[in-house]
Amino acid sequence: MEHNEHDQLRRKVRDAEMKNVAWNREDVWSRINGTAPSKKSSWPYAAAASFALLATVGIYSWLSLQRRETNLRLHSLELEIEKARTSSSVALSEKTPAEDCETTVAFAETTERNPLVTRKMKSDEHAQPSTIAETESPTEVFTEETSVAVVLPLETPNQTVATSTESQQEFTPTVITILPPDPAPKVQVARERKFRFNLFRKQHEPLDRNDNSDEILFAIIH
Amino acid sequence: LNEALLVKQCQQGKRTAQETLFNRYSDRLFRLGYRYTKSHSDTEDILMMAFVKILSNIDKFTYQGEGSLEGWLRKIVVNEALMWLRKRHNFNLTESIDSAVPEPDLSSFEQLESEDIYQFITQLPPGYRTVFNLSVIEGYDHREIADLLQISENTSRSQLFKAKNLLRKMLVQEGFQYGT
Repeated sequence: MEHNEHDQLRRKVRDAEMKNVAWNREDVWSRINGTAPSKKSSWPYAAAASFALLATVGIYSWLSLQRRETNLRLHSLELEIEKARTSSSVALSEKTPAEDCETTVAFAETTERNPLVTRKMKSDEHAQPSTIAETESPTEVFTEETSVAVVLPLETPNQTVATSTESQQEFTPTVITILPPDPAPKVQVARERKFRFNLFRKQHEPLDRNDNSDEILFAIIH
Repeated sequence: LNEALLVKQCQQGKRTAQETLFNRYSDRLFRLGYRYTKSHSDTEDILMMAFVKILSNIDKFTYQGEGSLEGWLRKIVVNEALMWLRKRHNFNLTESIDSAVPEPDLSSFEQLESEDIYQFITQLPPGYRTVFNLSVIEGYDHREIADLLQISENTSRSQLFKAKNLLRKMLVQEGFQYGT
């Protein structure tokens, strides 16, 4: 009984709700349009996000590589400067007073590894054979190895040895002495030996010579 | 467009289908909301929020035959209307009624036109109107109404009893003979 009443009421109310009513339908729809999400394909956003991520990673890697190369270059330059300072101070303190020379170290910006050490003599009195290197040009190029060739005159082989100072403790100079030419070269010895052999052969003329007679005679001489 | 195709196109995000859905159901849903709020502007707000939820969640809806879409739409609008009412009306009533008292007879409403019934319902006070709508028109039982309005079942039963009594008085005032 009660359910039938409710069903009839429900049906009548639903019928009443089917009728048109005046209200701001367009306004409500425009508000819904402004807030309701419309489903769009998400792959353009995903592609854009992926591209941005890849670009970020690429730029970061490139910047890291550039920074690492710069650091390596700076480090190598610092090492070169240190080596050049050490070698120049050692060489100058050996023969030439420091106050008499001006040493400049020039580094090219390229990848040249060897610093160019330029030594200019202030006065002519130091441009003597007793100085470190007798060069026509005041410019020397030092190699990367920490060795300095000191050329000494033959008359005074024991005169100059690198004296160690406080600034040269880490440096070990290599002293190279150019010896005088050999007074009895090998050619002269061979000639004397050949001369004696000829004398010996003239004295033993009757002897029969076979193929290995020279070897035998050579063995007899020796 | 039939309902199934309309739902499918709405789920695909087609704006024309969404507009068709709105134009097809908005009038009856507006009157449904108005039955709860008795306010045009508030009903428009409720309808706007309800359709935003409908269009956002329509991909979760499974079409189960004719009428299922409208039932789903009505449920969302009713929930929005109840949320609106809970903010503006205190349903925390502690009224109770003896369950032995029989509910008033509404058989005389069969003589009324559907529009008159609709108007009578909208003239009820908010508490009575809400429980009457939920119980008689929407078909919820008292336990469900108690959960929706966060009141006790006895309060729901009492509100329905008083709503029916008030409707009967309205009918008498309008000149309808009630009972025999």
